[in-house]
Amino acid sequence: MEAAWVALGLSLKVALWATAIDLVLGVAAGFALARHRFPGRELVDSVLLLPMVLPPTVLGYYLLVVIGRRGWLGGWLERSFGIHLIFTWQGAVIAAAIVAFPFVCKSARAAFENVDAQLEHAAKVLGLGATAVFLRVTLPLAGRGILAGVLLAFARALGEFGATLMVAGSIPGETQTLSIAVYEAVQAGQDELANGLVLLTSATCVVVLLLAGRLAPARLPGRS
Amino acid sequence: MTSPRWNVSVRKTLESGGHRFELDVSFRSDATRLVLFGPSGAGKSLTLRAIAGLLRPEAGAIALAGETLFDARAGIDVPAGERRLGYLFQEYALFPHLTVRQNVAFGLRRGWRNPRRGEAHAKAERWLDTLEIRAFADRYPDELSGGQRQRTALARALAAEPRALLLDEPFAALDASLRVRLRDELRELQARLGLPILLITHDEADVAAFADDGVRIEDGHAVAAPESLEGSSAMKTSARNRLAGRVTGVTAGAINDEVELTLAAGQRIVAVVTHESASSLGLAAGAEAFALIKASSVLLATDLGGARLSARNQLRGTVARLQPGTVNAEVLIDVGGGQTMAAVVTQESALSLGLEPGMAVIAVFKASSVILGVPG
Repeated sequence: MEAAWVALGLSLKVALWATAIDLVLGVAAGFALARHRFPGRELVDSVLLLPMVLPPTVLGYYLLVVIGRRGWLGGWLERSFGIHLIFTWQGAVIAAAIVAFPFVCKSARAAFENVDAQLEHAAKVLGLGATAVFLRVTLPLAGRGILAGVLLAFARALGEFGATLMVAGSIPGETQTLSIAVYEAVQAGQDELANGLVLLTSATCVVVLLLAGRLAPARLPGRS
Repeated sequence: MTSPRWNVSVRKTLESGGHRFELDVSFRSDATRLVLFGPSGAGKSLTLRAIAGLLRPEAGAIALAGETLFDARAGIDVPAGERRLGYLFQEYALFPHLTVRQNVAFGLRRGWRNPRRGEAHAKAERWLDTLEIRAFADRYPDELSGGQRQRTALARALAAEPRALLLDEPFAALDASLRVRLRDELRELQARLGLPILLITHDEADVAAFADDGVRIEDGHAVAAPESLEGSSAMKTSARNRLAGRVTGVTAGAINDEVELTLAAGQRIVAVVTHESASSLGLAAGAEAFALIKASSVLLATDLGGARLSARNQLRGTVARLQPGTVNAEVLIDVGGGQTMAAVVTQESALSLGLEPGMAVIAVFKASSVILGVPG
C-alpha cells in the first residue's frame, strides 16, 4: 500500500498545480471573453473549450507534437534551457491543466457575464479605476461561479488519465498518478493493490466534495 | 454671459441587431432641478450615461457650470470616476455583497479593497443619519425595501460629495404612495444641500412636482428645448399637461382667435388666444403646436348625461393611474395616441366618482384655460 500513498500524493500535487494554473489563465480568458468584443471571439471560445470534447488521446498527441523533444516548443525549451517536459511530473501538470482548463474558463465567463454591468458602472462613477472595479465588485460577485468551476477542474485534473499517460507515462513515484496506478494494478493482476487504490481514490473524492461544501461562502453574493 | 449650469449636446449612433438608433440631444438650462422626460426608449438614459461618462458620444460637448467634461472636437473626455457626479441608477445598483454601511462608504475608500464590515467612516456615518438608514446599516441590499434601497443609493452617491446628482427614473421602482413621499423628500433634500439635480422620468407628473425646468426627449431628440418655454415662466411651473398636436382650424375674431388643435388620437382641443400671439406663433392650419393646461383647471366627469356646458373642451379618456393624497388626488388620464394628462381633484370627489384605473372619464376644461405653444 506504500505505493498507493505515493500515487495519491503525486495525484494531489499534479491536480493542485494544474488547478492553480487554470485559475489564473481560465479567469483571465473568461473575463476577456465575457467583457470584450473582438473579431473571432466565438472561435476563440470554441478552441478554448476543445479539451472538453476532444478524446484525451488526441490531446495527448497534440501535446507530444508541441512539447515533445522534437516539438517546436519542447525542442526550443531543451536547446535553450535543457528543460524536459515529457515523462516528468511537470508534463503531467501541463496535460491535466489543459484537460481541466475549459471548466474554469467556461464557468468564469458565465459568472462574469452574470455580473450586472450596472454595478460596475456604479463603481466607476464613484471614482474607482478599472482594476479596483474588478477587484472590489466584479471578482467578488463572480467568485462563487468561478469557485464552482475551479472545484470541477480540480476533480477533472485528479481523475485525468489518457493525456497524462501519453505525455508523462507511468513512472512510479514520478508520474504514476492514482488513476494510472489503478490501471497498472489491474493490468498486472494485483487485485489487492487495485482494491486499495480504488478505495483511496473514492475517499479522496468524498473529501474534496465535503471541502467544496465548506468552502462555498454561507452568504451568496449576487443573489437578488 | 455666464455659463449655463447644464450645457449638453451629444450625438451618437447605436446599432444592435440591425436596429439603428440615433441620439442627438442638445439642451442648456440654469435650473437647479432639471427634468428630462419622454417615453421610455427615447434616449433619456443614454443622455444621462453620456453626461456621467459611461457612454462616449461621437460628437458634441458636455459642460457643467462652465467646466468641460467632454468635448469631441477638443479631444476632452474626463473619465467617469473623475467627473464627481452622483448617479442614482434606476434599480439603484447597490452592491449585493456589501452591507448598507459598506455601500455608503464605497466611494470614500480608495484602493483595491472594499471597506470592511465593521469599519465606520465619519462621512459615511453622517449620511446614514441624514437619510435615516442607520437602523439597518448592517443589512444587505436584498434585505431592504424599495424605499430603503433608494435611500441607501442616495447616501452612497452623496457621500462621494458630487458636484451634481443624476437620477435615472428614481421613482419608477416604487409604488404610488411611496413615490409621492420620496419625490417630496428629494425636493427637500435638494433644497437643503443646494445640489443641482438632473432627473429623467417617463412620468409627466414628476416634471410638474419636481422640476423647475424640463426638456422633452422623443425618439433620440430634444423636442422642446427649455428656451422655448423661458418667456413664460408661469407655464413652466404650473402647467402639468402638455398635449402635442396639429392646428386644424383657426377662426379669426376681432381681438381673439379661436384655434383648434387636433391630437394624435383625433381628439380636439379648442383654445382662445389673442390675434396677435396667434400670428406671431404662426398658428395656421397644419402647424405643429402644443397645449399647456394646468392640472387644477381640469374637471373630471364620468358621465355628462347630455348636459350642456360652457367649457368647450371635453377630452375622453381612461384613468391610467390614481395617486391619492391627503387632500387632493392626482388622476392621470390616458387620452389616446400615447398621450396622458393629469387632473387634480379633491380626494373626496375622487371617492364619490368612484375613480379607479381603467375607468372611462371625460376631462373638461375651458378654452380660455389653454395656453398654446409651438415646439422650439
